[in-house]
Amino acid sequence: MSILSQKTHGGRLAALVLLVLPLALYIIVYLVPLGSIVSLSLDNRALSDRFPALRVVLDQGAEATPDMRAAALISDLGGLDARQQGETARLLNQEISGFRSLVLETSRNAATIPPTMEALLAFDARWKNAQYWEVIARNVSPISWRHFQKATGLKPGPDGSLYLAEGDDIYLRIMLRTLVIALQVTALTVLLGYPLAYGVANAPRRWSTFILTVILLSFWTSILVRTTAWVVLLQTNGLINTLLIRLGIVSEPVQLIFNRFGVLVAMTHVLLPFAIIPMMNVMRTIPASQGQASRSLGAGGVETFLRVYLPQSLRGVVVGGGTVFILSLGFYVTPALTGGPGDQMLSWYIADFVRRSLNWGMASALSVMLLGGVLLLLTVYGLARWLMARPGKAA
Amino acid sequence: MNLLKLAPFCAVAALSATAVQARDFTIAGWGGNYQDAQRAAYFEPFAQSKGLKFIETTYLGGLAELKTMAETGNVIWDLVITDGPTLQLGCDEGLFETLNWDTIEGKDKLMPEAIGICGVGNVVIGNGFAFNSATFPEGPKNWADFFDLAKFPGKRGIKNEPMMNLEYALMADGVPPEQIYEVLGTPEGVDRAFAQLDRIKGELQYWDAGSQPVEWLAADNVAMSTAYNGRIITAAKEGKPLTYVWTNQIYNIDAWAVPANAPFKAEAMEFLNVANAAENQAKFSTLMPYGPTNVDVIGLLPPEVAANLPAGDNIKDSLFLSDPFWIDHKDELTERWNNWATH
Amino acid sequence: MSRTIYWGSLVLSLSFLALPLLLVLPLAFNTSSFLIYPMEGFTFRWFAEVFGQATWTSAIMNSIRVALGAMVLAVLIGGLAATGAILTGRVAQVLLSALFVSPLVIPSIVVAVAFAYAFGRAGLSGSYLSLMLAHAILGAPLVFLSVLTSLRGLDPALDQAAASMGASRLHRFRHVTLPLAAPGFLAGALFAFITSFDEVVVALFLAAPESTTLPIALFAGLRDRLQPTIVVVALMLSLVSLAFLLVLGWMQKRTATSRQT
Repeated sequence: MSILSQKTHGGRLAALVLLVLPLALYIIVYLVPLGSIVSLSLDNRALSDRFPALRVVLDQGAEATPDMRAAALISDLGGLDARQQGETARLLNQEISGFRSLVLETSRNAATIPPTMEALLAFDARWKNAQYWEVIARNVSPISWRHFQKATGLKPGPDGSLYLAEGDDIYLRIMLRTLVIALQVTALTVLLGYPLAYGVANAPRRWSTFILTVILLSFWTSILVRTTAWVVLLQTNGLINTLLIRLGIVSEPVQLIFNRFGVLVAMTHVLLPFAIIPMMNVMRTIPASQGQASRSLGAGGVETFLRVYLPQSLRGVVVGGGTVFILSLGFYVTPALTGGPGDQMLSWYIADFVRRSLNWGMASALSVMLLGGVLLLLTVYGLARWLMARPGKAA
Repeated sequence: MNLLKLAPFCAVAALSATAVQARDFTIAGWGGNYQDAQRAAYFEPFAQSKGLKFIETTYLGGLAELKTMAETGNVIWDLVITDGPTLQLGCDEGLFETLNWDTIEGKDKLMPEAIGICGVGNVVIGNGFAFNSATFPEGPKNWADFFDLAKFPGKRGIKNEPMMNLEYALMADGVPPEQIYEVLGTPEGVDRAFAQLDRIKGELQYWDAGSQPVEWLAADNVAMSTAYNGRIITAAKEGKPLTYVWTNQIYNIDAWAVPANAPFKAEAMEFLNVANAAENQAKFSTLMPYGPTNVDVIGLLPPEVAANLPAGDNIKDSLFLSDPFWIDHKDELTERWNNWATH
Repeated sequence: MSRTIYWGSLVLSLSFLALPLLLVLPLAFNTSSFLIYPMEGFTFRWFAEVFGQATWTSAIMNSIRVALGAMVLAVLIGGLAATGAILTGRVAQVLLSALFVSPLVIPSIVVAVAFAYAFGRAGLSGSYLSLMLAHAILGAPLVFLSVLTSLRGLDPALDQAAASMGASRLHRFRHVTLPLAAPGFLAGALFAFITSFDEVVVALFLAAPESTTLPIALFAGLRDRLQPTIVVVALMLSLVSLAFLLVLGWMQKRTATSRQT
């Protein structure tokens, strides 16, 4: 430990002075935005603020007569300016298709509708449909779980308990797909990376330097560039298909891209160095004398590897595999360029919600779930590493 | 340490580049050949006649930028060309200026679909399908053929979204264009559209940029693909063996709109007159094979140009894309589409 | 037998890692506009095309500008954080490290959504400043780690020698500790630059058409149309990475020899 870490009063003060700026910037530019994602996934004020009167009426429960509800709704909708009308209509339409035109027409004509249920129904009979009222009732409070409900497919039933509606499990299936792809990529990177890591640690010096250089070059080449290479290679009329046809292995081009195969190949390539480097670091600490000792006791090469080397290198496999797994959960660019609609991971849908439908609520809810998953894994992973690193445990 | 001396210098240089400047008349367009043609047909004549300097930028679609402008009050565009649903949504949320049609010239010459509360329809875009005429000398003729793998085997390219694809599917199933939205408005109609799509699902390849279908068709990666008429016609003019099918295509209209509180609002309103003028629209359609909204233009064009445009006879059996339908149903149908496409 | 398996798997994995780029990048010089072998001839035509197109050249300039700004900010944040963190107690150091390193492990899509929302609210969306700040946050962890590592590796004897000659704490820090930690700062700066230069996801959400960076232009080009110019840009990005690695290697060697003497 450097003497810089003396715990003197002066040291503490200096640390504080030095840390003020980076901490302030991190909080303002990084932590606050991350926090805003969490609040955005629950925040429903854009809707709840538009229904102050209706919230009061609905709070009265059974005492609220239909006329009271109609009057409150008409007064709330009538109080909106043009911009608020548009926004309210768009947000409510995310819940039920067609709600938009009903809200717009009612709010634009609110001044002409007498404050009774009868008059409201006379204006537009669609208000008879209880679904519309239920959606508004769910959205009059400033905090709403509706995005998480949609993300998990769990809906509150009439009795308040949650149930999984048929066909609403799309995001659950996407999360499952994300996990499966991440696991497959992890397995592939570990399998392909192990010999390379072994090579760096055990091959003659010239070879090991060469392998290491290739690994590092690959590591520092941008993910997008490496994905580009695969897009070019896997094209229907690309290098691999031309080669396969010329060799007579296939007679017409095989579909290699825009499917799961393309995603797995490209992601494995992109993440391979992340698996190799930790394995390599662990393997370098395994003394060669152990293998020699084992062989001198009569064990064969394969047996020595399986019984002496492999168990000791497993820690590197766990670290490397864990790194790849966690990184691949959040992948976006590579699957977006090499996969079809059935191969996109959670990130793609998050991006889609922001870019295509401006639905920040859903994007945030899915982001929070992805972030939560990664943080949970990191904690488990950190604990596992700590446990494995504890002296006495390895023996 | 040199680096430490360099640091403040770099920071100042970098930050000064972001300072806000007083700006010229700014037009946001879709970029590419489309915007090149607009520059020649509209921007330059307008700027010359007004003695105005203009700058251009690229619009990525959607309302995100326009919402930011409205919220921060820093309106960085004066004019933008956008699609129908975005125009309607933005208009309802007050993101665009409301137009005073009494002062806009040429209203009586415009197609009725081009007249909006906040926008002036300017460009008619054809959405249909195309095929490689080298692959199918006796080509597919209509949507039923597009969905018929037995008669025309091979991969199909479609855009990865429900809009238009559901309409195509229903037309393939025999629903006449004028009844499409009535049928699609019912749950059974939506099921029927997806059932048609199921027939070709195994052979689908999804595109998201308009240039992809052209590339794929030219390279024979797909046998047929939905596409914008402009892209296909342009590629065909360059000598690629592509044929666009006009039968039962869908057309939609891109419109000019003025972001709310744009600094050059007055100039932008005058631009709309230039955009409506028949001779300017004729010039645009000569450069870019998209259709005019001014009904006089077709008469001004040579027949070989008119034959390639979504106008006149080419749109007689076409369907006009319903903005209200898609504004109401987009969220729900996109979710169903994603669900379907990923299974 | 076991040797065959070993060498076989080694060569297989190594080819998988190296061949894709080795095969694809030379196509930047192919006269044909199709990206396949055999090459028809050698040309710089596609390079000329890239440097003649405003979309690519402005993206290159934007990337350099953003990466420089992000690098400066990241060195400032990460360097101060590391020098501060090393002066604190053990627990505080662990917590600070977790905080300052976290942008490395949080999925970039999540960070991108957070930045896009927050910068949009602050009226910064599309500006160079928003890109620089965001990339600085992504680069700062690497500066933090490399500075922290170099500070930890310092020889306490040097500081003590300076102290025994009467140098004040601040003086010692400026003239003894900092110069010795300089390689850490420099390596960190390089890391931060390359991180920003290669970053796609966050830039996709923050860049306006005017502030588009090179990776964004490449991403858009890939979805638009596969042509040799795409490979040219990929090659240029790889060369930047290669140069970066060479500089890093050279610095490591220099530090190692200067420590020994």
